[in-house]
Amino acid sequence: MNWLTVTCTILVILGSLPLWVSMYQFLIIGIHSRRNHYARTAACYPRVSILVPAWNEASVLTSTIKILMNMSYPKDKLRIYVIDDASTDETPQLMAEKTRQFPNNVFHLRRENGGQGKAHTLNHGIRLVLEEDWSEAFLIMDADVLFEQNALRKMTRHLSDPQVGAVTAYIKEGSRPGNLMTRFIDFEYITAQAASRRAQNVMSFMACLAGGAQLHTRKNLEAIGGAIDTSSLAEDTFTTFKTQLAGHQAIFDGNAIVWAEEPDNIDGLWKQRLRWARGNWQITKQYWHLWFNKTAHARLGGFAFGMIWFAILLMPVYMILAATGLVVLFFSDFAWSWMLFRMFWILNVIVYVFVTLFSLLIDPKSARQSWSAGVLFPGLISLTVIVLSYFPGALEAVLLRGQEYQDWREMGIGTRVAVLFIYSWLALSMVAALLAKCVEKTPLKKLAMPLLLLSGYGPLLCAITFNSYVAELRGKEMKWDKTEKSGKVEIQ
Amino acid sequence: MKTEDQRIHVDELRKDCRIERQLLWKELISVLVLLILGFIREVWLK
Repeated sequence: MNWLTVTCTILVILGSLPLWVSMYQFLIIGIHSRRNHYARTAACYPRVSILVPAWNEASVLTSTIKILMNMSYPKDKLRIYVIDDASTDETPQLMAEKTRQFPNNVFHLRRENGGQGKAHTLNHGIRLVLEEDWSEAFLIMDADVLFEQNALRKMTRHLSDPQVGAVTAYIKEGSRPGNLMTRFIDFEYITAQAASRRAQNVMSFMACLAGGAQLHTRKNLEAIGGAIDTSSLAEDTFTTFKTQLAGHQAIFDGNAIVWAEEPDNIDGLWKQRLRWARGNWQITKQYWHLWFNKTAHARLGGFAFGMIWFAILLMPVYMILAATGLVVLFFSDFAWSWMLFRMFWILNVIVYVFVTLFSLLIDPKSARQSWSAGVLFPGLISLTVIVLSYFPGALEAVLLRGQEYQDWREMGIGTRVAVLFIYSWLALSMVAALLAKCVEKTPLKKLAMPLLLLSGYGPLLCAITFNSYVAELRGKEMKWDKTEKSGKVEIQ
Repeated sequence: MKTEDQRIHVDELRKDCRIERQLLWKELISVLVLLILGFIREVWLK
């Protein structure tokens, strides 16, 4: 084996890293049945200030406030502060009505000079609310998030443990009627929250407390400086890191359920996730000393957390590395490249079956809505390769027409193109996802969803992450693109 | 803490712990399906 073959083999193996990481996370979820925080909970009803940053959210605030007021939580221990970031819609009028209706519970904090983004808005509210001694805990949420009746109570029970600084809930996609995009997000949230965050509970770290539903103790909020980070686009992840670095525990409660409205088109998703992905880069740079450095922090500096973090952050790089390795090997050592390609996709079959099935079982209620999105998550082309990889000889029959080749020169031109296309697909799928985003704003917008189905939702997220590399390298202006809300979310 | 609050807490805790315990079974079912699929592939389809 020459150096080129060895190098390319390493690239393909590196390309499979996210699959191993994903498998590891899902394998340890079962441990959550024994190793969870429930044993250390107790009935606990601290005085909670709910902070709702809002900019032109009048369409959703009425139902949000109504649902918050109907939560099964003592009303004398609940205050809702809507922090109005100089809204230009009917928010002031609506809030005047709500404060009259609930004079002891609902408060309107208005900033006349707004437009600086969610973190600044939140800080305005936090500063004012912290000045009073009343609050024992702070619930930071988004204006469109709807809490199930017992969600807050299920979160506060963890605060009976003084080690706990913050708790986050399970945010579910609640747009009805949904579409393919919202069903993809619904399934994604099972894997990224209900599954992955349980695994993080087991490993005693948390990558991110969901910005739409995070509960902090007063002690924790003061320990992290009494303010939310305003220097980045991922203020919720910064808060999560600071909480853990301050020595407090961050907990995910998968049974405290809240519902949110998520983007229903590719462009909306792209803007939202680009903000998140850029925020993750900013955190990676800010906490550069932390990665794989246990002396800096026992958990966040651990090997497992580093692997999970970089598997997500560098996912497009891994996909490009695997595709590059396979394409180069195609020309230098075809027989070996074919063997590696088959092995890579067999691993894909194993991870896909296990992760998809387990995710659907973890949340059967969401699974009833989004099982098809779960099945189609990798995209039709990758799914075809996954199915063909399962049946012995099927890939050879379809791609190599049943022939055995030692060298690429022995193949016909059609076979060469087909094999190179499939070898490159991991990288090309991101281009196809980008194309789906581009056509969505043209007269050909009807092609956007079929293209997304072909490329897959996973590759779409990778394409967005790749875009975040470019945006960060170019030092593009940090713009807070608000996700449009229509108020069509319902508690299911 | 009031007895009623305590009762609600215990009820919810019991229910949630049951959901968490079921996770282990769900994981085992997923692994089992994977093993059966692997067995079918290696024994019957080859």
